[in-house]
Amino acid sequence: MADFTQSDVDYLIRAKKFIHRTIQDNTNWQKTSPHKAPDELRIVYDIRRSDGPDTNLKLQFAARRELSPQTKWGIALRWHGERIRGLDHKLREDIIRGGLIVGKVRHWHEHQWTNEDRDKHVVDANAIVKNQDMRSLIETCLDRWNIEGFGHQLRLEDLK
Amino acid sequence: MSELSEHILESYFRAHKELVDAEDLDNNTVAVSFPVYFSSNHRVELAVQHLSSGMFLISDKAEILSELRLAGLQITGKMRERILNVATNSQLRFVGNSLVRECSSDQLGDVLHLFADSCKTIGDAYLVHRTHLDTEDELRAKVKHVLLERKYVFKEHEPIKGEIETHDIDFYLPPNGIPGLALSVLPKPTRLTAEAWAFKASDIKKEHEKLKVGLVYGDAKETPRDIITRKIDLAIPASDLDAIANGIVPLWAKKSG
Repeated sequence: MADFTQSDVDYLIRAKKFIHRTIQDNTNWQKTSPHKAPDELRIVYDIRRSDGPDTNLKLQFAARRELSPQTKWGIALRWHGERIRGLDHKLREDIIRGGLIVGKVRHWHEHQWTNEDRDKHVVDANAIVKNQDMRSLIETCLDRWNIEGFGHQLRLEDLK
Repeated sequence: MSELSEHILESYFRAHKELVDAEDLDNNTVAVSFPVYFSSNHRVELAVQHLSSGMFLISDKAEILSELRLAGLQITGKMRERILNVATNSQLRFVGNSLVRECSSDQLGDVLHLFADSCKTIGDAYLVHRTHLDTEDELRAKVKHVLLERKYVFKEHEPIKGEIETHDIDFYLPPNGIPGLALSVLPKPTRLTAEAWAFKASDIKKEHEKLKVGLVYGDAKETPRDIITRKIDLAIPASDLDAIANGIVPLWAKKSG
């Protein structure tokens, strides 16, 4: 069982965080080992709070995609190995509240950790996913979960 | 067929039709989502492509392997073989990471049903019945709980000096009438880590003759388990932790006495 509650998770999501280091990134495998394709593309970052940069929170930001056609990127924020937030694409996914199916979402959805349903509770995220390429999805999630990234290209929102 | 059975089947098919979802991916490919669930609550989704030869190519879009990887399983060549054996009825094969099957228009309905069912069977075989392996943190938390419950005095992450180097120990119970205990956890022992712990134990004991070294270890193969039980004073399998809740220390005192 997780050692935290929904309040702890929400508090952590609201806190300002930053990417402390890259734990794994095999997205440039064509340059580093062109003859050995990986089974899946994977990026894993170690995340820390901006007000406690020396403390290892065991918080990881992970993006992955099977190296196969028609597959899409899935992104997860894991705390002590448990997915507390996630962005995922499915043709259809059930919305679960208190262990019961209360609705359905199509396509992009966000997993939000709750005390009762853990990571099975989902909300529609089609409105927040503008582009489906790796970089855009990662930036969307970093923004949404209050994580300062490596810096990004200027976007329309920045030109205010 | 009786009126009642007709009513039951009609209701079932009506509900089933609503529960199945489909969407065009391109001119020749349709994604179909079935009301068949993996243990992670994800539905089985298949892509059906109409080939120019008139045949249909059905693919799981690498979903099965993805689910298994997400559950922490390592996909080896042997596992791929076993997956195909589990799904032998539906004559699936791997193309890259995707499970696929070709079929004619006449077979399409049957094959779709079989394919989805096979995905579920593979998911059940590998995901539902998989025993949960404690992570280091979880195992440490369990041991700490036992120590706190029994009101033992201990220090966490105490550096213990050995003859050659200093070792970081998860729990240090200082001597108090009985020898002290340096207790650590090792969730997934391998031969290498077991040998490392055998060295640590002997190094610590060279410096502290009366200090006992204990290790709570997770699922282990025969060789690492053998090394741990032979070289560590107090080797405790994590699966027996509940039983040991009756007292880590009495066991340790017995061994030392």
